[in-house]
Amino acid sequence: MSTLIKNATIHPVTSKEFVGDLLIDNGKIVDCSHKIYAQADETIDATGLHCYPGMIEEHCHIGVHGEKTNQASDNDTNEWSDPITAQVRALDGIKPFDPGFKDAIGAGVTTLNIYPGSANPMGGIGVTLKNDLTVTYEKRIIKEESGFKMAMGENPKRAHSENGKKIITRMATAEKIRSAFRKALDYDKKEEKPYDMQCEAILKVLKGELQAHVHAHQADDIMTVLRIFDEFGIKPSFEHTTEGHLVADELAKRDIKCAVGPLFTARYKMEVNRRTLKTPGILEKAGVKDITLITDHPVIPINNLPIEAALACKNGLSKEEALRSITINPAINLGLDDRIGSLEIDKDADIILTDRELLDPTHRVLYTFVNGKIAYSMKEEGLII
Amino acid sequence: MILFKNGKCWYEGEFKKLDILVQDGRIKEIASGINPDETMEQIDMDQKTIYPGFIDPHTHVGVFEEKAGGFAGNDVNETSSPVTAGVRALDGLNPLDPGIMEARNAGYTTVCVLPGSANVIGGEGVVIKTAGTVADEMVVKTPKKIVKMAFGRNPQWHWGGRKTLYTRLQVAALVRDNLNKAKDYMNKEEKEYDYNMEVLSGLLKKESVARVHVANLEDIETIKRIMEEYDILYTLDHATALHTDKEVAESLKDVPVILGPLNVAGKSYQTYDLTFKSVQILNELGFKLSMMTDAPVIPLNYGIIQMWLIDKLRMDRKNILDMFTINPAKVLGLEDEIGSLEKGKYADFAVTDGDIFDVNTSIRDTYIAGVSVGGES
Repeated sequence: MSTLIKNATIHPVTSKEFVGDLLIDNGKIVDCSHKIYAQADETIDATGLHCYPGMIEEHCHIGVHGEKTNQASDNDTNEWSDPITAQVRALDGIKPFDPGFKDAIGAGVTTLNIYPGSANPMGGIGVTLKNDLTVTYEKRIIKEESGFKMAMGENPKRAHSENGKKIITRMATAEKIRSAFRKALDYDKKEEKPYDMQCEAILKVLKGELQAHVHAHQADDIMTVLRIFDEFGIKPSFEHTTEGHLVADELAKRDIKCAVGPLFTARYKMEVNRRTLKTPGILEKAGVKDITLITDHPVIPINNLPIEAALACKNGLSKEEALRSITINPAINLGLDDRIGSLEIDKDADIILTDRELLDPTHRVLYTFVNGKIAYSMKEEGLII
Repeated sequence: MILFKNGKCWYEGEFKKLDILVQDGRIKEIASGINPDETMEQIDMDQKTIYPGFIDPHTHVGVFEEKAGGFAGNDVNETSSPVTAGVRALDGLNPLDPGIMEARNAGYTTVCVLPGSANVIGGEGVVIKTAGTVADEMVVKTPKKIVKMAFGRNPQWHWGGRKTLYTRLQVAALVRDNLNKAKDYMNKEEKEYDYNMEVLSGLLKKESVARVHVANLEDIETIKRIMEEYDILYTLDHATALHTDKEVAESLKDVPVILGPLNVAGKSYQTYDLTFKSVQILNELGFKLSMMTDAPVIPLNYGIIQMWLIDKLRMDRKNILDMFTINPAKVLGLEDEIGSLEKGKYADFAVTDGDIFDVNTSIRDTYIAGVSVGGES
């Protein structure tokens, strides 16, 4: 099955935009240039439309959160039973019919990275899905173990002071992490041992096979993470990074990956009091590479992802980086940039067509392609909003 | 007097280059080519667009403080009893809540502050201007008092655990019981002054408007039944599912509807039908809708995002702007005071450097009664 998109303003993200054509064949982008003469099974006249790579949400809880009822029976975000639940996987708790998936495809988000929540200092392992609702759940999985979710600050304190009094202060959160790392190293040294799923998961992080993504809002939490990770000779990535602008030079110097957001919440928590739309721009100017923006859906709706990029841009982030922050940068962050995140030959044909520029919040997504197939058409299904 | 010279004004449903003369906080004249004299301070608005200050008819700013984070600054629900008609939002309002500062910086000049939705009858709301340090000086007097009520899941959820109220049946019964008591109270010649009963009597005498939190269709119908039974003026706030039944909606055409907050995820039983499409459906049925943020549910500095998202529906932008200006002014009974750039109204402006639907436009200045109070830094 081949599809030719004709005469669109093409935004490859990794190179300058141009008016031209894009050819999809067998799920991949096979050509992307000013004029394509090849014949295709289907041709879409995209005159006046904008063509972008599908957006990538690096941090959300769609499917594990259970939006349909919002009841405890439907909520699999946080495995509260212990502060260290390194062995659990988001993959095993996802409800594929959760309404958030539809919201995402209608918004043009073609890849979703889904993490366990932030109640635990070590919360478990995330999963990356292609958001193709026309195929079964198992077929959507593109990275079974996409990242190791950890959390600092208020959330573990709140969760575990109420729940079994296992953590009362930030000091204990750090101690739990150190102890878990140490336990895994000791486990690794033993020759004969019963299989320990938790230690096995943590060892992957210590051996650099699985990237730790650490929920941290405050600058002091960010620095505590760096202190602990230094002790074990590994490098974290940050999630939320709300006060990243206060330690931007340190993050840049160490070449740390930062996911920033959600940017539009109220300041319900003390640790988000210093949240500002200027953070992404300040990080960029300090030299932090591959800044990623996140909605944390359902914390804010996933269709706010390009609006976050637009407002970050208005507040100092370059336009180029703003577009990258919701496409190629999250792909890099997830180690999937060889497949997704830009319009380049041989990449997966995850593509959106919009009527106005993506960074104009009033745009409509007319088509979303996943793996070369139309996964959403506004004409067929109506506007999803 | 202040002369705002040559601004692009949102006036009578279109943009016009006009001068606005302000005296004692009100618009004395709005016209092109007003001749300045020496009594006038002139402000050049040549590169600016002037919108009437935005109005949010349903917020909790000041009583549900953002920065305090929890108990200390949370005065939104007086959950000592499910009926607290006698309490007033004004008495818990902290003008220094950063949520109010963000409101004025974002071009919102007037907001209604309501008690929360945990209680069946939650207390009196208050309308304020978004600048000041003394709450009483910020108050805008409304022709009718405002009484917050809530039906459905919120009171049920809040009070269920406390064995006071389990079902919607009891929510309705509590409302009827208290209104009946208020009727008796009104008819008694000798009585002890009762704040709860005074407030409810105000509803029965149509001196007050009930602002009713509601999401689901079944609750909308119950509210209609009770309000008609007692002949009470009311509005439907949130009205999340109203668009799902056109027949029900048609029957409520004379009731003001305040939609929102719509830019939220995390669907629940109450919000299962939540969609921006409700704006278009109800607008087409002839409703003059207003839009709320429910701040701090959506902080007011992000209120404008709802305007952009509504624009995805490709409705007439005049209708959209009305939802943030003149329609909420009418809900509050203040359509002769605020909500548009008109002679005699307060000089409340959101001054921008471009089209408000453009993401790169900034609120350069916010004026309340002709005084500059903020803007985006």
